[in-house]
Formats: sequence, C-alpha cells, structure tokens
Amino acid sequence: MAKTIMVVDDSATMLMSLKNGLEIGGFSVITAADGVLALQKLQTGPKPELIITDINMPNMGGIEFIAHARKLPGLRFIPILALTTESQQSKRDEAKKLGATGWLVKPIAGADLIKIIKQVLPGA
Amino acid sequence: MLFPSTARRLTGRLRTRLGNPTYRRCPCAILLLLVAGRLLPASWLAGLDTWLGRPGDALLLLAILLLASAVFLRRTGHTRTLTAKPAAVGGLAAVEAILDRHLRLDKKIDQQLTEVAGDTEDASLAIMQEVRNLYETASKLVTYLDRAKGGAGEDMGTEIQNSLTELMKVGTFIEHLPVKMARDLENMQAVVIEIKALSGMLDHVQAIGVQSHILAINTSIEASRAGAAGASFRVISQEMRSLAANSSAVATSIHQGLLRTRQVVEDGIASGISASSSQMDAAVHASSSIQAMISDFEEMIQFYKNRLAVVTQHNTALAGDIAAVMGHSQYQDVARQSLERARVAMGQRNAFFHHALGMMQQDSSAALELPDMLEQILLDYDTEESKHGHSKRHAGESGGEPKIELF
Repeated sequence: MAKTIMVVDDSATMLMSLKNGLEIGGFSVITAADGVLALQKLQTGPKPELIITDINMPNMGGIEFIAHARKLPGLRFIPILALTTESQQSKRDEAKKLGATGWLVKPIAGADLIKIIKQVLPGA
Repeated sequence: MLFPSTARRLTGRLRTRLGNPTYRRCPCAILLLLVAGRLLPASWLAGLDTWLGRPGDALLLLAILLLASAVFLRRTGHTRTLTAKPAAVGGLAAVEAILDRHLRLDKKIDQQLTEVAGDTEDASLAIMQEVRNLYETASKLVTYLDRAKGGAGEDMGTEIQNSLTELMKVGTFIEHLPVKMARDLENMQAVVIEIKALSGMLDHVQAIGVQSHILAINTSIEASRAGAAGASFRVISQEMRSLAANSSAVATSIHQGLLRTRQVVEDGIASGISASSSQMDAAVHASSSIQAMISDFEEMIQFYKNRLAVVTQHNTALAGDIAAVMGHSQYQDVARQSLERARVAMGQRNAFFHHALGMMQQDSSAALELPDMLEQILLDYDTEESKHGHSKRHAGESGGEPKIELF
C-alpha cells in the first residue's frame, strides 16, 4: 500500500509540483495551503507517514506548524521536512529544536526529493 | 592674542554649520578681515595706537570690527536664507510632484508584476497538468501491456504452449512413422512366406487324396475277386473313394483360398510400399513445418517480451523526466517569493520618500539624515536576499549553507 505524505505550502505551483512528483514516485499525497489547514486535516483525517512543509506561509508558518504538529497524538515521531527558500542557519536551528527532521532549500529536484524521502521513511 | 582665539572659536562654530548654506559666507568674511589685519603695516597700527591713546587699542578696535562684521554677515546670510525660501518651497513642490508620478508609476509596475506572477503561476500549473496527463497516458499503455502479458495473454500463452506440446508429439510420431511402416511391411511379407509354406503342404494333401483313390480302386478290384466274401471290402472301397474325392476338393479349395489371400497381401504390400513413400515424404515435411512453427512462435514471444521491456524502460525514463520537470517548475514559486521581497523593499522605499518629503518641508537641515535612512533600507533588502540562495548560479549551496540537511 502506498505511503501517505502531507505537503503544506501556500504556493499552488509548489503543491502541484510536489503532488505530481510524489504520486508518480508511488506515494499518496494530502495537501494543505497553510499551517492552520494542515493541523485541521491532521486532527480529522488520516495520519500521514511523512510531512513536507514550507516555512513562510500566511495564517500559520512552518515553524509554528511543526511545533503544533509534534504535540498531536501519533505525530510525535513521524518525519517532518522543511522545504523553503530560506537557508539561514538560525531558522534551521529553530526548526530542528521544534522537531523538524530535515531542511531542504527550494527548488529541489524530484529525484533528490524521492531519495531523501526513502532515507527518512524506511520501506518507502 | 585675541585674533587666533576668536578666529578658532568662530571657525569651530561655523564648521558645525557648514551644511547650512546660510553660514557658508561668514567664515569667508572673517578670514578676509584677519588677512586684512595681518597685512596692515606696523606703522599704521602704531599710529592708530597713538591716536587712540594707548598701545593695543588698535588690535582691540580690529577685534570689535571683526565681531561686528561677523554679526552683520550672519544677519545678511539669514536674510538671504529667508529670501531664498520661496525658491526652496518651489523645489519641494516639484519634488512632491515628481514623487507623486513616481509612486503612480510604481503602482502600475507593481500591478503588472502581480499579473505577471499570476500568469507564470497559471502557466506553470497548466504545464504540470499537461505533463501529468502525458504520464497518465503512458502509464495506461504500460498497464495495458502488463495486463496483456500477465492476464489473458498468459492464458493464451498457456494454450499455445499446450498446442505446441501436442504438435511436438505429432511431430515425433510422424518422425517415427516411416520406421513403423517398414516394420509393418516386413510383417506382411512374413505372412506371404507363411502362405506359400501352407500352399506347399496342400500338395501333400492332394497326393494323399490321389493315393487314397488308387487304394480304393485296388480295394474294389480285390472285393470283386473275392465275390460274396469281399462285400465288406467293397463298402470300404467306396468310402475311401469318397474320402479321396472330398479331400481333393477341400485341398483345391484351400489352395485357391490361399492363393487369393496371398494375392491380397501381396497387392497390399505393393500399394503400401507405394503409398508409404509419399506419406513418409509428407511426414518429414510436416515434422519440419512443426519445428519451424514452434521456433517462429518462440521468437515471436521473445520479440514481444523485448518490446514490452523497452516500453517499460521508456516509461520509467519518462517518469524520471516528468519528476525533473516538476522540480524545475518550483522556480516559479522561488521567483514569486523573490519578487515579493522586492515589492516589500519598494514599499519601504516609497514610504521613506513620503517621510523624507515631510521632513524637508518642516526642516531642511533634517535632509542630512535621509541618505542614511535610505541606505538602511538597502541594507535590509540585501540582508533579506542573502537568506535565500536559490538561483541556478548557487546550485549545490544556499548562502553557504547546504541545500539538503538532515538533522
């Protein structure tokens, strides 16, 4: 059965790019346009095996979303990858402290993304 | 020493106000007076001291004149500033008008950039959708081929394989048919030989019949010679004659039957040999055809297997290419965010222009602070941009930090 990945980004281009790339790679994908919507889906819908989130988003950014998501039942240990144009170390450290699994800088090639996912998601 | 100290004080005071054109003329006037004082001949100063009544009064007078000149020139400068104000106000009005046009132009450019960002996003989404459709179509083809290979195709393959096995059995039978036919012919020829042997035995039977007939005749002669006493011999003689006749007839009948049988068998052998020759040729031909058919069929199966493998390989490559296209399309979002940051900086700059104009209208001297304020906006923009190393020129790194980092 295909593993489920949640993609959180306010850019329609990014959502479609990641959704298509991941589905072609054999994954099932859930999307959300910001942190608030993502938390709602996590609380009411099926739990994903991996989350990929942008950092700069309206309503609720990625850093805050990671902090909230880690407190939800069943989401304490699932991998969360930040995918953003930001690259400064202070933001990385903050995300790491709040429970992020990795930091990816946009744009990322489809093959690289699949490789990273297989690295953090054994059996994928 | 009044001159040097006074000059230093006044020069220092004026130096602090060099930025204001109102005071720029004062140091020049003071310097002229100082030079004039220095150039006065000593006899003139001494004469003046004499005229004033005591030494040093000439220098005191020069100092008083100097101070009076400074005050006079300062007032003159202030007056000039005041008289120049209408021109400055006119300049500010022009700046305000220019700023207004600039902001309107900026607004239009901003609208256009927003539209461009929207258009690139729409185009990017459309391209990705088209590419996805292409992939779906290719995947359907591969799935269809896979299903043909794994489902109905395999059933058909099994049936064909079974038919091939039967054909191979037929081929083997046909291959061995000539040998079998030769063996049958040999058996039939053995039968003919047996028939001939039986015919030879019938000659003996016929000879026995002839001897029996002769014996019956002799018996009949002896019975006639014996008269009444030979009556019983006469009966025996008749029976023997009858036996001889019957055995002769049976022998003849058997002989004819054997002849017919032999003829039938020999005819059968002759026709069998004639037919088996052409049948053997046909059998050999059929066997070769079956072998060729089996070989062709196996080649055909391998051909389609290879084609399917190639199509699957192409589809896998297509999936990789499409994933790459999806990755490249992310540049649209990167560019949009870069544009967004530029718009924020432009907004800050325009707000600054408003602020600067207000400041200059209230106090022209405050304009000195404006370049530093604008410089700060530039620095902030540079700092913000340095956090985003996203261009292809920065491939493999992002502002010195790795593009991919797992914690």
